Amino acid sequence: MPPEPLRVLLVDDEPLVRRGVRDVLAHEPELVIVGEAGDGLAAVAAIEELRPQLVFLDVQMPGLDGFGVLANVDPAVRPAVVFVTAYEQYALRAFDAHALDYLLKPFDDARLRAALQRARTWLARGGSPAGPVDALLQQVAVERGRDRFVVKHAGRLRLVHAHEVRWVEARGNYVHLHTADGPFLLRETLAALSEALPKERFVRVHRSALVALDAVAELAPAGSGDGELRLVGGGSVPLSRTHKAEFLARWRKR
Amino acid sequence: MILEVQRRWSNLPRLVRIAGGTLLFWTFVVLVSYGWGGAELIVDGRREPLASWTFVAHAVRTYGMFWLCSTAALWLAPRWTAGGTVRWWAAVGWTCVFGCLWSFEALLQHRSLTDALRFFVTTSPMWLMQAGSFVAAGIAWQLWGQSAERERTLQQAQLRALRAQLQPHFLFNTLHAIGVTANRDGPLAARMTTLLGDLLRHTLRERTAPLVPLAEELALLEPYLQLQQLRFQDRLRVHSDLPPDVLGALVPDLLLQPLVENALQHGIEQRPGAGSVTVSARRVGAELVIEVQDDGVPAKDALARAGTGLSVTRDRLRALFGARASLHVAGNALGGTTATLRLPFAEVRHAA
Repeated sequence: MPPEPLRVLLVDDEPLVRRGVRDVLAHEPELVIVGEAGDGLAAVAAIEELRPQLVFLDVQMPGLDGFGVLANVDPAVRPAVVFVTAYEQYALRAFDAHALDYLLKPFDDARLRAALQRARTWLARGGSPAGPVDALLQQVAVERGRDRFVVKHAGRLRLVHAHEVRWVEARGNYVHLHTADGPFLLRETLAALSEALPKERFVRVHRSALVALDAVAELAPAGSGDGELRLVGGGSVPLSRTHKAEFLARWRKR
Repeated sequence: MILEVQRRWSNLPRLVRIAGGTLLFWTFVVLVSYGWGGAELIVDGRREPLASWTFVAHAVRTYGMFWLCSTAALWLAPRWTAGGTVRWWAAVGWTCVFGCLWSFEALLQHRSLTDALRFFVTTSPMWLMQAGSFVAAGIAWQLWGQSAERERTLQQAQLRALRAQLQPHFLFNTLHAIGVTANRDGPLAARMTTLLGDLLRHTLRERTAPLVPLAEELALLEPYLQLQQLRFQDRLRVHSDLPPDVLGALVPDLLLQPLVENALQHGIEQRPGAGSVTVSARRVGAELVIEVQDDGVPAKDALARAGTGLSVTRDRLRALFGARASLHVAGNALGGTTATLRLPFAEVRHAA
């Protein structure tokens, strides 16, 4: 029985670069290019839909960059990755710190084939190096904060920027990101989000809610020491007694 | 060479510059007046040789006083001059303070109030003249410092503009694009190396004038835009609206490039799908108005990122034109961002 071909996805915002990689990989045995994506959002959709085993992922891209793509893909379907970059010093430091493989532009056919060969070796050893990628994403989330999220809305993927979010409501293993355009469902926990969102802007106000300080218009008292936060542009969020002191301190300092 | 000396000198703390400058001046005066002037000093009826310590001590005592006075005067000069006019009380105050000090010395020596008073009256024109010349020196000093400062800001801004053009990110991506193209379309790859060569040559060219005709600035933009268009292919459309009557207008060199680059970043690189960038210029009265427009991400988003790139342009405009030029960035009807640049309209003077 012939072995299953390796399923590869190409992600880069420059069509020319994708074509160059495609030209080289087309001559590779036991490999099939399942698709191409020209921006981060399309890459997330392609990964979830086409389930590639290996992605050549450009770091700098419109909308959502390479790190954003990986952070927003369901970890269960996350493929092995070869990062591609021209000059992002930040990315290079991060790759070296976590011993991840990357291709530097400009690269020729030989370097591309070598990277592919290394990727085949990890995959043969039993899958992608998930540990280092997790560590990388965690580092990026801590150092830069996550400023955009991919949500599914009306059957399509959409980007929600952190600055659009007024408050976050926990719904079990999901959260609702409340924005001026309505709430968006995101498959993440409130605990994870309270780590990822910029701490200077978001504050915990309830067991199940985070709120953006600049979105709060006024505080109205509610029963037994709790309160109710009225938001700019309508809507309200409960403020529990346990979080009241911290909220007030930060809201007044704002 | 002179500029280099001026630059190093103007990096020193102000007091050090003043004290150093006046020390040089008075040393020169001492050398001239004692050496060539054939001064002699008689102590206890004995003539002191010029190289003796007594002589040096005498010179230091006398001219040290002048040195301290002039250092203090120059140090205070900016407070005495407001907008180039001398505050008269500064000169009078100077006269009073130093006239009194020296008269007091006369009082101690002669132990006579009338002598001291006479001394004050007879020497006061000298103090007044001294104050006047110090204040004048102070003003000249300030103007010199300002011109050095202005020159430095201009040079720094120009350097930053250069560095923005030679962005490593752009260079590496372009090199990669050339490599990929070489495999499929040799002549096109050759064309791209030519364009990159043009761009580098323009960028590295020795610059003599801070202002160039708009046509020249556009010629520099041309290879940059062509390369970007080859990189992004159908994702980038470039339009321009440049009537012939503005092509001779003088603009700071490398002015447009950061604006166009910003537009590309917001209009194309940050945005999925195709985008367009429009460069237009027109004359409005005594002003040249240049617009760089994209239809990419909304201004609110773009503005957050616009910070560094545009501050370079703003600094250069301020250094060259002061308040007569402006750069305004706002959202536009296309859903993208428009950068509007206004500067005084001036044309190349043709040799008659």
